[in-house]
Amino acid sequence: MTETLGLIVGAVLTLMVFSYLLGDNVLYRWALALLVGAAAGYAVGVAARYVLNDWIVGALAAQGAPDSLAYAVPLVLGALLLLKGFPPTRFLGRIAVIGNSSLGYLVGVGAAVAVSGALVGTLIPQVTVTGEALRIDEGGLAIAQGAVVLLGTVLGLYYFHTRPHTHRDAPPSKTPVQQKTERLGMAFIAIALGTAFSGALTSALTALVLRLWQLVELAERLISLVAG
Amino acid sequence: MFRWVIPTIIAVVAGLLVLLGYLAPIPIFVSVRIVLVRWATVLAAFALVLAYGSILKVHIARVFRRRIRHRIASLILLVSAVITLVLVLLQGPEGIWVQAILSDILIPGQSAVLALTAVTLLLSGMRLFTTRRSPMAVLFLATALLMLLGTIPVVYPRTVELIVQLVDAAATGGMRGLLLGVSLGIVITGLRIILGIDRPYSGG
Amino acid sequence: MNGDSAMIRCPSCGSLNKESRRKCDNCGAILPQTEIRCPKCGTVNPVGNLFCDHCNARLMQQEDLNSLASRSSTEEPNSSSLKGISLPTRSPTTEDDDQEREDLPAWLRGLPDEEQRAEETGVSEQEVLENAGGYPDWLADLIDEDAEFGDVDVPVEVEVDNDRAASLFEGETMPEWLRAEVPSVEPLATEPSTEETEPASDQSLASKALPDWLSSLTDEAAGDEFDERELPIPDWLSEQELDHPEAAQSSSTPSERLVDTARPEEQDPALTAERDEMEEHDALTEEIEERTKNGATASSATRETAFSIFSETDLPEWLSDARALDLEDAGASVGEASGPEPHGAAEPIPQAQEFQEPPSEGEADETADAAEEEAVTEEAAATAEVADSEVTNEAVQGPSPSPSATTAQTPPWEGERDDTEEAELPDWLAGLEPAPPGETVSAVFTKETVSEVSVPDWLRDVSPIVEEASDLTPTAPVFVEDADDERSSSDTPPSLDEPAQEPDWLKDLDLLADEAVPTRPETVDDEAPVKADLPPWLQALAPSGQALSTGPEDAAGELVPADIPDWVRDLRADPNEPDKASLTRERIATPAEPEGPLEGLPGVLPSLSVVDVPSEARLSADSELPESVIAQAQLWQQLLEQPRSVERPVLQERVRSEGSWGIIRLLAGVILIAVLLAAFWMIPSGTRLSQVPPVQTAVGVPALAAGLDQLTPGERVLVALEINPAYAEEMAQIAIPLLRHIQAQEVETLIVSTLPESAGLGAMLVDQAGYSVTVSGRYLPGNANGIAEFLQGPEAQTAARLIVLASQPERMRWWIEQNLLLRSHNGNGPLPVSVGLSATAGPFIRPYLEARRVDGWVIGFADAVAYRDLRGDIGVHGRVLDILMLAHWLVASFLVIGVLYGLALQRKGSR
Repeated sequence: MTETLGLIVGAVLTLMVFSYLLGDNVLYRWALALLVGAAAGYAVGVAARYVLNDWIVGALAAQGAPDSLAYAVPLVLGALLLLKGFPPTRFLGRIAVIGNSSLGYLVGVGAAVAVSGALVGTLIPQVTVTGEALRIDEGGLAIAQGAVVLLGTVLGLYYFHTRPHTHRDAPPSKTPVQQKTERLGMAFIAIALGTAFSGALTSALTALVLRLWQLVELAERLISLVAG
Repeated sequence: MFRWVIPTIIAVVAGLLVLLGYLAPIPIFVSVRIVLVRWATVLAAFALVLAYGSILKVHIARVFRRRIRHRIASLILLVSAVITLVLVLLQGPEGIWVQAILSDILIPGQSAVLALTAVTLLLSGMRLFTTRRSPMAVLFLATALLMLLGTIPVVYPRTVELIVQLVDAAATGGMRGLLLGVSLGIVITGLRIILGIDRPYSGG
Repeated sequence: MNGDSAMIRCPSCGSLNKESRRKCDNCGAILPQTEIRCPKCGTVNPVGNLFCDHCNARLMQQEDLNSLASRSSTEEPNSSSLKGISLPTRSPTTEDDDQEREDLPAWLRGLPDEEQRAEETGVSEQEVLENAGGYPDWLADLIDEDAEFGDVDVPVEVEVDNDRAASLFEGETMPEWLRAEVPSVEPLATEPSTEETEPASDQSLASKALPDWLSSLTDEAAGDEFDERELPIPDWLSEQELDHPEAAQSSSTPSERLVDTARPEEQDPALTAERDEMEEHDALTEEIEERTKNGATASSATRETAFSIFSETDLPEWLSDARALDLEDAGASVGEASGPEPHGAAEPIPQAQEFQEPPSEGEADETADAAEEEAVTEEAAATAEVADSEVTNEAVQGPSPSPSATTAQTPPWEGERDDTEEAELPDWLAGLEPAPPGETVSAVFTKETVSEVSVPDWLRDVSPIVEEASDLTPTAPVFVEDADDERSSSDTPPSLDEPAQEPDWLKDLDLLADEAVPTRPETVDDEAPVKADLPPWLQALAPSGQALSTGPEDAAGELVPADIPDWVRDLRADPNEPDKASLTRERIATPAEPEGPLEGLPGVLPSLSVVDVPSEARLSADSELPESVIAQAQLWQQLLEQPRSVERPVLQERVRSEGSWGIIRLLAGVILIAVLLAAFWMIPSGTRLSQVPPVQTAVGVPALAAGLDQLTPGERVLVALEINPAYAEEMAQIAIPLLRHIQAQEVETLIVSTLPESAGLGAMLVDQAGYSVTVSGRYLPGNANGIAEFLQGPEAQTAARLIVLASQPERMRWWIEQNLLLRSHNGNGPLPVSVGLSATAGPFIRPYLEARRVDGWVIGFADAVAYRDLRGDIGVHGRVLDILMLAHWLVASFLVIGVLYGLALQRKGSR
């Protein structure tokens, strides 16, 4: 019964969202508000439980200065970070500038992790693989595929390097070879984005089909319930 | 002083230590890196709490402000956020009510929104050729059509298979170029932050 | 067209830019801002606000304020501080005055200030003007605007009917101002204060030229008799009677009243001094006459009288030269000077009386003073003070009729002397011959006509010495010329070419004769001025045997420029600097103000350059403006010029297109949903229409299955569940068979996630997968930081495999990167990774798949069905796959329809 009730709630919510096909309306907005609120509350709840269970309890149970310090420092930094949420007219808001230190710490560590990962995890392996694209020992199709992959990688990277970044930049004069190379790179990028578009469309259609499948199953269940 | 000097110093020092811990396998640096990264995860949780507070503040103001549209939607958001938070704090993610919220509200609702994007994407694909007629638009649409029809075909002749393979290889090459470009951008941006050139944390 | 985007003009290049731009698109100059957007809340605030009106955030940083303050200190201190107004203002400070002074032409710039002049002369300009009486309107009317600075006016020949003038005041007291002009009129005995001076005044006045109105007065009055008492009293006169009732009572005629009202009760000290001078002048004249009677020649008598006046050291230059010549000729010593007197102070120069218009209403109080004021002639300009005021008056109001010309010209009444009572004229005047009628006379001193030693400086200043009379070129001040061009015809005072306008009060008296008012000869500008005949007294001063010359000559025999004071010279426009003059002309030759208090005055206010476009601004071919900017500016101009009632087809068309696409969206959605729903009921469950291409699953799906098959019981498998709730249903089709496969391997499963929702989702999936053992889950906050922190921990160090189920590509990338980064440092190598991805993330992860960093993958629902099929657990998913395939075909059809529609539009547009 509860499962059926849950399905009914889901179905109602699905129909409220599908009402957007008729245009922007109140039902759609209410459904979105419900989804956003629930997702925000869920995320914060899980994060708060993690901090509470793993760190505050751990800090309280810590023995020794180093452990205590290891638990206390992030909690203090986190508390300073929370000061940023207060309005500037309040007293706590006036000292909210102290929270910039916590932000700086978070940004600095995150940047270092990202740089390391991108360097070691993506750049070096991908460049290595690009050089190994031509697998000659695997036959003609593999060679062709490898050549296409190699060409696409090089030309795609060339296109991102040469295209102007702002509309005000005066495009420098390019030779015909440069222009043709740039257009080839643009073609590879267009093909890549075309596959990405089809993939997104596939996911959306899958969600649509599965949602409809749920609706059909609910309808069948309700019919069976009504029919007895 | 507290606006950008001290934060910059902290960001630079912490970033350099973590970077050294990754790139230079010296035990002391690795240990420091482990501690610093762990502290960063706690701060990330606090940042999530801060974001939640901002959402509540905005929508509370909307609920109590006069002559504002969609006040009920803000009220619904506030109520659902508070109730969900309380339930998760009390029961945890495996709680019954939390599971019910997840399976009956969050998953169906967000799946419906994703399903709606299918119509939106379809419409944007249909309008593409009316607004921009260029060889790249033709290539884009042709690739999309080929992948759509080739993902779940009825029949799959060898010719189509070869074409799909080549297109797939081209897509892989292009995507690798994109990936390398993105990774290079990440490296450059990260280094600018670690060296203190960019200071996104010094605002306000 | 975006209705909220106003345009402003760049102050540097004049191109149009959007209001929101900070720099000019064309030249890069900083544009003036008209508003400030708060960086915190985005509220638009007017320029000038330091803090936001909405959130009270600071709008301008301290360094900006400091630079603004330093900049403003060097600029106008009194600039506008009004908020929101960015128009340039004029600061009423000395700096503006200095700027204005710099804008003036050089010759006008040198004009000393009132203060400077007052300091130099000891008399304020106001006093001088008051003493000098200024130039009344009727005199200003008589002033020839066409005359140029330094030019010598040819006086108007006037004929004064002395009889008529005398008859007007028969038995009455003639006003002094009139008596000065009518030499035959005897002063009344009833006015003792002026009786003594009147005879002398009469004689001295004989040398004056009467103004036209007076000449006409005398001409008309010659034939008619009228009773003055019958004339209507002017308003100003009646008001005077109110102010001076005693005078009015004592007078019975308007003229008498005029006389009374013209004579104030209180004497002005300056006027008293002038009257004293007049008396001295009369006395000197009498002395000269006596000397003449005693046998001396006129010239000698004059000289001796002059010598008796001036001391040895105070002799004017022209007189000292004459004295030197006398000494040479006669060898006689100069008579004792009667006493040192200021140079020019006792100069018996007959002064032209100033004739004033009858005061209008409101000016009655000033009538008394005005009547007493006497104009200073150029002869009296020999004094320093008078010379200053005269030049001032000339500079402001134009040259007055040159008294030198007046003196050179034979008084018109000379021809009628026979008809009038014999008047005793001074010798110097008696020697003058009447000028031929109709012939112009000008006091132009040429080399042939002026003695080299006898032309005084003051006279030389007035009339420059030229080679010939024809060389005299007019050099009127610029402003006079321009003033002529811009003054309206109604405001243009009549020139001497036109009949002089008589005052209204005189019109009322109806004294005009029928004779035409003599006009100025027309040959002034075209023909060379006639050489003036020097008066005998002037000629007598010349040394014997020497011809009169225009003035002292230099050694080379050429004319020496007149000794014009420096400050006067500076006032003139320098003809050697045409650019400056032209610039001056151009500056001044700006359109006059059309309205307001400055109406009719040109070049007073500079044109605003920030907001307004100068009227002369034009885009020329040399401006190097790109065509796009010009086209954009023209388009903006057209759009701005459109009336509001004009429909905007672009916007309407856009709205129409949006509406049509909304209908298409609805149709597409409805068709899609309907077809799919129908397919659910129509396609039998056992039917399988679709197939998964083997190329898609040849590598990934089998490898994943093989990898999971290699797990041994007791090992730990890390399952990273990075699934967004929106992709939960799709990923569930991948996750559930995988979990079942893992469970079948009897390994320890640790579910971790960087997404908060996946913590609960993992439990749900495990429950749906039918796990019999408890699966622990962990939340890893911080995204990549959390992954790094987890992978460096002990739980990850002992894991056998990492299975990543991700709906988004970046989370998949983090896991792969951190796995490669950390595990390589531990010496254990990276964990083997198997991935399950949504169809959205698949294309983005293909480079990693191609790099063989991942062994085994499942991408999308199709691969999931293939994996299920491989595991023998396809179930109902085959039917769902068929429906999904139908959806794909339907979408592809819609895309093709869209392409065909686009082609049809293109063909329609080309037609």
